[in-house]
Amino acid sequence: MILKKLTTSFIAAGAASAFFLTSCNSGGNATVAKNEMILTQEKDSIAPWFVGNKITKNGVVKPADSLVTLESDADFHLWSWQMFLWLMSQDDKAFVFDSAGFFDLSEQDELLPNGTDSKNVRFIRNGQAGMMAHGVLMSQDKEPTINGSLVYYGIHVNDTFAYYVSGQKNNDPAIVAMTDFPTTKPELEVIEAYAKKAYGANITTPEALAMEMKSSWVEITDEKAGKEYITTQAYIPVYKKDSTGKKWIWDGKTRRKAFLAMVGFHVVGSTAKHPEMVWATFEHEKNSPNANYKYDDHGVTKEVKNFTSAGLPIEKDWLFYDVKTNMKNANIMNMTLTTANDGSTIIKAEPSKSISAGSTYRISPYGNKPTEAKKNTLLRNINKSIRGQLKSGDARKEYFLVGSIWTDNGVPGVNNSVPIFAGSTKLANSTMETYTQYNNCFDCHTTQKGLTLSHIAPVIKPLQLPKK
Amino acid sequence: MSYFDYPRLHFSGKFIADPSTINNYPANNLANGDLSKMQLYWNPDGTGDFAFEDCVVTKVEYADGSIATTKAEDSIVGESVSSIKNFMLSGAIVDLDPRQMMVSTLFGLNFQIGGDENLKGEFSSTPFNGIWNFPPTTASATYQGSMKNLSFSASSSSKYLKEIQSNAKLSINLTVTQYNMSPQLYSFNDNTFASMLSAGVPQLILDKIEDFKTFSQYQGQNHDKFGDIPTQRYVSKLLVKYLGRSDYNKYQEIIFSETKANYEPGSPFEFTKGLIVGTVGPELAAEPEFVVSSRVLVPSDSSVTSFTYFNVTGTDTGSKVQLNFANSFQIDRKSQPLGFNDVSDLYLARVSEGQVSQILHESPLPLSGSFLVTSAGFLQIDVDSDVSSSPISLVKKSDDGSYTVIQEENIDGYFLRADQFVYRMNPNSTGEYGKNAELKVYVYQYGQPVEDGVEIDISLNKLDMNGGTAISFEDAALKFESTKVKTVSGVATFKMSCIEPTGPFPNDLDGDVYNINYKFTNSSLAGYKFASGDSVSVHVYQSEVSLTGKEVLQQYGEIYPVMSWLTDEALVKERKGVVLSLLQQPLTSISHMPVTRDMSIAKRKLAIEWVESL
Repeated sequence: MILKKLTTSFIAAGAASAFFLTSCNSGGNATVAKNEMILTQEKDSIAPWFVGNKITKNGVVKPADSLVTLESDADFHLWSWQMFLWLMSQDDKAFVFDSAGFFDLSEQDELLPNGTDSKNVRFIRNGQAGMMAHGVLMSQDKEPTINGSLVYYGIHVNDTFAYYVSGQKNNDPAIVAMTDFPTTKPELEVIEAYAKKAYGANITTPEALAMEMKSSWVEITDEKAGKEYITTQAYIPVYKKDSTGKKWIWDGKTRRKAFLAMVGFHVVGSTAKHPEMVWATFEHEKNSPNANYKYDDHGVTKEVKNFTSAGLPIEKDWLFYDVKTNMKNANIMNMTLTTANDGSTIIKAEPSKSISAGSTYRISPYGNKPTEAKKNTLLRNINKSIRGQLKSGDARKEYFLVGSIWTDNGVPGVNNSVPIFAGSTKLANSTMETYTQYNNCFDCHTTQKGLTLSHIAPVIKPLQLPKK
Repeated sequence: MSYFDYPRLHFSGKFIADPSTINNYPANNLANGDLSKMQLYWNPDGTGDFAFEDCVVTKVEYADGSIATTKAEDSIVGESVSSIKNFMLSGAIVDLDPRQMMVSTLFGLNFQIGGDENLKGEFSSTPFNGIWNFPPTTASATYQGSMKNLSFSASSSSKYLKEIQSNAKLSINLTVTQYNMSPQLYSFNDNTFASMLSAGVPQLILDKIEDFKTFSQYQGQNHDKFGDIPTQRYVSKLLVKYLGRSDYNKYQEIIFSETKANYEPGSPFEFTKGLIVGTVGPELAAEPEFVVSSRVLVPSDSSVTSFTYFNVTGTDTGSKVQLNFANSFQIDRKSQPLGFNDVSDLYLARVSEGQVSQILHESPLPLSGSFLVTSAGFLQIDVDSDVSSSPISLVKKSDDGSYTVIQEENIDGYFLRADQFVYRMNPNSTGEYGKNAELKVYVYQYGQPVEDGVEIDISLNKLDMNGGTAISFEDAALKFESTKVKTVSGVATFKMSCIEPTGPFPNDLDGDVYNINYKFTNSSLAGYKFASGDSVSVHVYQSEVSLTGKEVLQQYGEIYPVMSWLTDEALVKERKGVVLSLLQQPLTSISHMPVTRDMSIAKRKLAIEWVESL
């Protein structure tokens, strides 16, 4: 009854770290080897993650306890999976990440509280992150999209994040004394006390610590069209095309209601000893092909061939890849986005290109070099195990964890030090960092102290204080 | 209209200019990345960024003569003036070429005046001019350009924002001074290696950084010592590269502590920062982008090169004189806030045959104290005499009551200035940056466009690292339809074209760089004085390139450490999409790949073709 013991232990600890008891070393190949061995036991149950301790279709999942120290690579990846399943749980028809206790970031950098009457106008960004240019992604003209779709992005934070950043912006002495995102119970209590004192608010899920998320979506005809996707309704920008077709302009105001299907999701949060945050990303399995990569099959290194030697994809059904395109010509930006001073947004075709779908593949499958067989194997096995346990018809089953990254020294840059990356050190989401896949999260989210780690925290306007 | 007109806003604060400097030394082009053979100069790892920091509106002046210096008088006062960060940079500061580093141009700089109530706009791609004031480690210069594509916040209580809203363009005058270009050095020599060993850095680690002893700012020239490496940022980068991240983290504190050299700041500001003051006024749509209709006071002492630009309008009782002193005087570095040095007892006067014939106002000009930062060096004063078409001077009163002329108006009230004064031209190409261009020289007398028929002629210098030497039009790759042109509506327009430069091209520098000097043909105006850098710079690139596209990008990776990954073909291949995008952005876009604005069309084409082939 080993399985029962594992489960009991997991419930008691309430944390992913106890899930695979034998995977308790920190990082390194030895840990990977151990995890690999364990993760081939696909019956290890994720039932304790669910409310009621039973895996059910679309069942509500509990958040991972981020105050528990994550030790092994598997621990981090499992934290990511549990958080994803929790955030994508639906309660009263609202996803957790889109319900009370969470905020969406507006184009004006305001935190918009979620609520039953919110109009969900938040998935309106079309530009990707980028050091020098914001690339714009469009899907192929295939189901479930309508004639191909621009990809829309949303940015979301939880209440711990929102009150922490607001306290920093409002110069609350106790919050300002915290130089990093919270990782301990006492730090969490400071934020809870501030939320109560300044806003009369309670933190809804304190054990999740501070979290920020980014989501990517495509437009679909209706909910049914996206039955294998996590879907929502939102108001999206209406672009006007200029006469050349090389420029689409959104006035920053005009929107229309649309059905959207989620294609990607970043889960980012602080955990014990990791103020630099764990950065994880998920994608829909139909998004984009992986580059050819290696994995370990019971001690034998094997290769997964996703492209022929001529550079054409073997699998034909991809939302972001035209099967006639040679991979040499993939991941090329067709258009970029700029925001004009008057708030209007312009999508402009690159020289010699048109505003159209390109082809995208994942350069670093599982966020690792294609040749890193052991690390790839760990993620393959974790995905296989968890997705295998989710019930048919649960749309979360159609997504997979690309990978998670954190730093081994666990701290942001202090006194001119540099981070030692751990986990999926070449992590990128093919729908969000399509054209900057060569970077990992920390290349842009520099692990310096304080709010600069997050791109949104320094620019967010603090939550409005209640009138006295 | 211009920044001399109303409503006029002044601001001051700090600026950041973070140019990359390894490319300053042409021989670095051929060093194949061997740092022991390169001159790092003072900021090897510069990002190319230009930005404002802590700038605030200090004063607004309106057409009715009223002035606001407090928030109660206008809510815009005290609000920020900030550069808008696009991607990683606010603006990109780029030299034309190592042979011409005195016209550094700002590309893609957008900025915002005000906080929640604001205006935003795009600053033209503007080179500096009027550079002077060289204590050993700093300089002053002026950026004069336009701000376009204006937008305003939805509502505003600011009188200034309400009044300025009807304008499509703004005239921007920025003066940058007290720039600190003295880096912190870290000394890697036998002594510091011994001290690092004593402090606990293992010999094995020291062996890995032995090469650092051979790196230098200037290859031993100008009192430079080998092993003295500038900036913590660059040394960090080298240490991570040579030691790896783990050993870097383990030993970096000791290494920095033991190698940190004594530091003498180059100015009151931090490294790569300085003082900026700015004046903003309205501009008409049809007005030139860079030239402002004005008059000019020139120093009587020919060893001084700071000019004062001014304008005069008639009043019922005399004249209103508006003067921009922002780049006119030395700065007193000990003053707080920073102000001008020795500007007491200055007056505007009429001067005849070297003698003061009339002092135009009673009290001395109020230029001392906080004047520079609160008024951005800009002064308006009513005088009792009509000087709208007669020359004035700036004089200093001595204790004995006598006057010394400090600055005098340029000959016969003339002012001439090329509008665009930096060109990038490519033979065998058409369109922007192609083989044809127009040079427009604006000519004013007492602030008004001159009558038709005033002839301007030009001469050429070819620039090298030691300066310039005269070159005949026949021998130059830069050609002119005519070298003597008469003004029409106050403008002399020269049609330029270029042919393939024939070299030699030492150190793989691309093409030729020319200075066009313009002047009046009329010999009686030979005494007209030109401000420092008051000429036109033209880079004529080669269209015939012996390098491959791969070699082109590799060279850029070697001389611009911020893009050092360009030397790695695998990384370029991995980043193919974004490299292609950045190389094809317009030069004026902030998204253009950093510091490749000095790349010829031919080289860019080769580079693009190579990247596409990967």
